[in-house]
Amino acid sequence: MIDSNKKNFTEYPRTRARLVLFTLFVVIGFLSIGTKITFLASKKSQKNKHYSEAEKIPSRLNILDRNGYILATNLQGVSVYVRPAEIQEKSLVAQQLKNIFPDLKKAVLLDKLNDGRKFFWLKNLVSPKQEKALFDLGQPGVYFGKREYRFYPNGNLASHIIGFTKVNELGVNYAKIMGISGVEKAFEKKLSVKVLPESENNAIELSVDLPVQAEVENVLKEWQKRMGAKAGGVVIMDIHSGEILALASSPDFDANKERDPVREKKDTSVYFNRVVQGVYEMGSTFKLFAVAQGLESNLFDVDTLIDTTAFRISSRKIEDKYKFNRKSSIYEIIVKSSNVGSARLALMVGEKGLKDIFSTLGLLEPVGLELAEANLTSPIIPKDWRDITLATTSYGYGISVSLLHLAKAYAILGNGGFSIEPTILKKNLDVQMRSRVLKKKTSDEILKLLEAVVADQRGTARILGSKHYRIGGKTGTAEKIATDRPGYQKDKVISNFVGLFPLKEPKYVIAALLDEPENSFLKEPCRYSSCTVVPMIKKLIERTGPMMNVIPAQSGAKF
Amino acid sequence: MARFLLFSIVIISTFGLGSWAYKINYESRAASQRVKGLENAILLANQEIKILKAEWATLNNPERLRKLVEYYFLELRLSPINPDDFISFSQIQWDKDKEQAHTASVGESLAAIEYDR
Repeated sequence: MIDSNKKNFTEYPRTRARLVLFTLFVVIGFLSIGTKITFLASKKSQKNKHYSEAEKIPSRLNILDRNGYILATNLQGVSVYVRPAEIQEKSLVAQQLKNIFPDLKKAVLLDKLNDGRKFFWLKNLVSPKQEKALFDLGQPGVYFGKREYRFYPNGNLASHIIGFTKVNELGVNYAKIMGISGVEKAFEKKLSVKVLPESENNAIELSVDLPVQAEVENVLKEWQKRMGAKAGGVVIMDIHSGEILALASSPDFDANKERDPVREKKDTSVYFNRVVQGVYEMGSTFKLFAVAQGLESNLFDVDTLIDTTAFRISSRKIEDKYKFNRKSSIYEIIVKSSNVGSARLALMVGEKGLKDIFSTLGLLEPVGLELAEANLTSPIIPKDWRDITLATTSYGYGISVSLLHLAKAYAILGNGGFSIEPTILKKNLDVQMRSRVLKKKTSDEILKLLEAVVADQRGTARILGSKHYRIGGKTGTAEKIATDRPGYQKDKVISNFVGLFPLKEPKYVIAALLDEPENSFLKEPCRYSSCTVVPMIKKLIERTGPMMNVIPAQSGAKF
Repeated sequence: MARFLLFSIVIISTFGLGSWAYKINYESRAASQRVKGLENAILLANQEIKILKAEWATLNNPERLRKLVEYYFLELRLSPINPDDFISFSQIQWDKDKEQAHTASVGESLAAIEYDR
């Protein structure tokens, strides 16, 4: 048999060739099918990977506070668009749409339906009730498009930190949202994602403590009203890690309302962050800096006596509002807040010394906070450092910084002299590398002085004395520059206060300011920080201290 | 005979492999559809969770809670946490009798267990 086959093949070469060709064809066929199957089964093949439609929609991560409370989230919504060509009875449809959306004008709708356009957006975001009403119309030419929108569950709360968003790109099935201010802008790249993250923890966690923030905003608004102030700001920061636990600026805004197009003329001052963006001459809160530099360079100690009689630099007289002894110790200069004493100290410290301490405490450059608003806010520094400039900057005139600058400077003075950078993100302190910029001894002496401002019966912040907490701080009141003439306005001031607590082991710095406050509950109206901002600080600390687990001093503070 | 056998094997294996490939293709398409369905279900569930979380956050908005606390003050008497609320361990008022009674009952229970053994 085999022999005969062999014979056939040799005898019929064409048959043999056909058979070989057929076999080759079959083998190649199987090989190609095998290759295709292997390719399809291989994990590397991306062609087979599919996403559902919703996954392709650009999304945005949540923003959480340090406890995990939601500050901003993305929700699914529906937008409505119209294709006029598919609508027959245009007038009837316009009326029906007007019934569902009373804010629309029938004439405008009719114009849009009749002017030959192929497509127009009816509403960017509709409620489920309106969506159902539209759906029930069964009207051809009216379409729904899925889209995500940003939702801020806490309304106005922490609005200056979170910021707000606008729709940047609107597609039929998606809306790309872009951050305009605050964290929403600062972390735009991290927040905007193409594919929804699988892990729920994939959110931005802020250092802010929502309950503390709420309390701070509540007290600030209440006090702003009581003192008739135009605006106000408060910041509470951890002096060791630089984490901001609360940052409130009043007036504020509801970020949920920002997504709607602006119809009426709005007061844009609500977007101005008084803590981060506002630079002001701060007044006496600056007095501590020349003292810190003098202590740091061993020029004097807190008991050194300084001449506190009024004197002139060029034509300008440096004097105090209250009477001081001919000579006062540095302790007294700070406790009773003497401008003359501070000016003398600044002249002793000199231009280089004053610039050094301002630079060490970060007062000559924008604060390195993540928010874009902070990076764009430069302090206003004198160009020419003459003697008069040294004298005035030592008590907070001629140099303008933000409240956050002050908080940072006091944090460095109070944390043992370590450099810190304020942050809005939740941090792990252990991993932070801190560098020392001031001696521990200087920091200790400054803390004693700050406590004396509150504890000493002559201190400008003596009413801050609390039976629960040991608090230290410095008051500052600066007249505002007149806009219509050279010089200052006597009746319009910026009152501020920066404090550290609990003083046993300082942990937090609290800084607050009120713009044009006036306490009219006293016998005589008072604009000084001691009667406007200090009472607010007392309330803030007693309210937020327990919330931040600051245990009151068991034996009671010594006030 | 050998040729018949060879052709039979080739034809059978061709049909066999063909139907196997068809089955695999069919199954993989079905699995792919199932995965798509599941993915959509997961997405929908995630969206629902998101909405519920957002709703929960809205309900717990500190400003809203503050208004509720004020509204229901007469019934609930809730007040903000105060530094006075912290007391030291030594300030805790112990009810000595109750404490002893509790210790005694624990002792009795232990004794009973011992007895059972």
